Amino acid sequence: MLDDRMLDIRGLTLDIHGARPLREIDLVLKKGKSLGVVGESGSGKSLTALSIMGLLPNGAVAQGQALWKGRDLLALTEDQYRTIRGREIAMIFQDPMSSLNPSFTVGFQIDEVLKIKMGIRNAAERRARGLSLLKEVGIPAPEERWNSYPHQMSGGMSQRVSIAMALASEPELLIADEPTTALDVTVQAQILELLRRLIHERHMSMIFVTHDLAVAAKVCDEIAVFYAGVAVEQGPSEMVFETPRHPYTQALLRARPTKIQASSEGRRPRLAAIPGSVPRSTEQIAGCVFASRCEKVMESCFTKRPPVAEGANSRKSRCLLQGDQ
Amino acid sequence: MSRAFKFGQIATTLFGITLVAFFLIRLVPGDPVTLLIGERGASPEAIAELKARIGLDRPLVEQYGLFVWNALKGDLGVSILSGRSVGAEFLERLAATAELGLTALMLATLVGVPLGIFAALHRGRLFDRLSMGLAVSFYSMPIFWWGLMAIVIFSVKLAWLPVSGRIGVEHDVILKSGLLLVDSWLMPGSLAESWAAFKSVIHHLLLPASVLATVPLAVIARMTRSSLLEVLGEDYVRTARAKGLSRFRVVALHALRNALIPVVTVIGLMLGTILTGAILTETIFSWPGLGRWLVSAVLSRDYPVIQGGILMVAVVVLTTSLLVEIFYYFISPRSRGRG
Repeated sequence: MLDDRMLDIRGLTLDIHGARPLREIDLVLKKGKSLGVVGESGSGKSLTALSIMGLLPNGAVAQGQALWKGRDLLALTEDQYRTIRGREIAMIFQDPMSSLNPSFTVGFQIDEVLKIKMGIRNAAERRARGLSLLKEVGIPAPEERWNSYPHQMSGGMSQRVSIAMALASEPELLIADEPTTALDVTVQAQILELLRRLIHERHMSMIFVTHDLAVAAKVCDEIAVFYAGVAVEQGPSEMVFETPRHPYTQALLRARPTKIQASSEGRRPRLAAIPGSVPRSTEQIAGCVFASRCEKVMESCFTKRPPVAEGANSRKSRCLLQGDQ
Repeated sequence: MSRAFKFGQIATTLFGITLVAFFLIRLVPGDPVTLLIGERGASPEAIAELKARIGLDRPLVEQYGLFVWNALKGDLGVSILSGRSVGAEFLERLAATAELGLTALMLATLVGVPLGIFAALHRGRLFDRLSMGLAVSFYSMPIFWWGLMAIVIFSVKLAWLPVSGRIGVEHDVILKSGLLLVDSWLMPGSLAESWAAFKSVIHHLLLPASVLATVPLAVIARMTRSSLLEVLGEDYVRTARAKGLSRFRVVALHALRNALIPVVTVIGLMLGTILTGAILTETIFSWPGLGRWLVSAVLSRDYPVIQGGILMVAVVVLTTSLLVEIFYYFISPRSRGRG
């Protein structure tokens, strides 16, 4: 059981300049699986990804553990980290156009990984490898692209290059931080399909950060739902989607605008919304972070912090209602 | 920007400069003839004859037209005072100013860029505040004040460096390129003599070049700092870190390569500042360059030298800024456009 836990985050808490954007995050990623991390902006999903990469902003203090194959990432020195970051774990980012260095060619930026991280001495071999990577991510005429600069490419093309660059180090885990948010809808679908194909073919694990629950359910084996710096629910995608456990996930799914039908008078029904607003990361919260907006709220929700309740099929949720199930 | 447009821009600028250089000095009271002969004791005939010889008796518009026409043919006229060709005098003086100015610019770059980098990497700490505070004072103190202070401290009190001139009188350097740093090696005599002359040139350069470098140094250091800080926050720097590259490679290659693009532009623009600063610096240090040449020409109302000299200085500034733009084109892939 323990063996297939590739990444095991336990009680990850983050403090930055008096704010607490992450509150005891628990997250498990199994080998060869993909995990969708879903939440609205500010829910801590990107910061969790950056914590795993050791790329937190200055002044951030992390507590808890992030066990990568048994090693606590949070306790690593910068030198130790470099054998993991960009080698065992690679990452791609939201805005592909600004994520590539404008002063260097595509070839240079891929070559660099092959030379420094993979230690391939032979330049011709690196080039051959780089070109096959570009081909693998579906870039037409890789040889021409090799000498292109990022500004000469479209967003979708840039994201493909970013993916090729991340794959160059043959990582075991790929973290994708909203990789399609900045792209056109049609391109989005292509990139999602590409990612799904690549992790399958390469037997990689993936953490897929997104604000779109439906996309996460489509791409990932498991889903973790984040709210106000807490992982409120984690479980297999279709189960979380079909039978959400946590009241926040339930409310979120009800708020989806998919079932809109114009009524007979031609007026559209109002979209469902969750009343209230997300607590600020500077607020001190003794109980459940969702208590103030929850429709199933109980008195104890305001005073008692819900523990992780584990259910069948490795489903987990942080809700007092689930405690006795 | 199209090439034709750029060319038209330069031509328009030069035309404007001929207007300003020609008419502005003629608005200033006093004229070269009076200054040459003296106000008392000169007969009206003598004055009229001298005016006719220089061509000042003709209508102003005709004089201007003649100036522009001759300038287009490459003839800037002769100095009223020395009788020598303005073009030849300009070239002589240009070499002295170039030696001073380029040394100053090099000094400002070699000190300013590392200073800015270091300050950016230690943002908010003591070194950052100290060096940037110093940069502001460099920038805001008048250059002649720095010059006089430098002379008082290093030449008069400590007697480390000479007060004025380009080289010690005992060295027999023959002007070839006009740059004494080069010519000291081309002079006849032994290598030891050359070396001694070269050292003397450096000795004479040090103080005026440092003074002239103050303002550009401050600007370059601050520009480097802010540019690097901005770039360090860019997504592609985060990507470089995510690739697991060393901090040195991330900063020195990925960040700096982009951060230095605006710095290069500023260094190019500083050439104009250097030429302006040279007027004061050369006057203080008796440096026989363009600045002092123009100042003395203004004082004696030597019209051909003033208008020709200013025009040529403008040509130099415009040429360098054009070179900077071409260089910029090569270092910044984005400016090359799509394709």
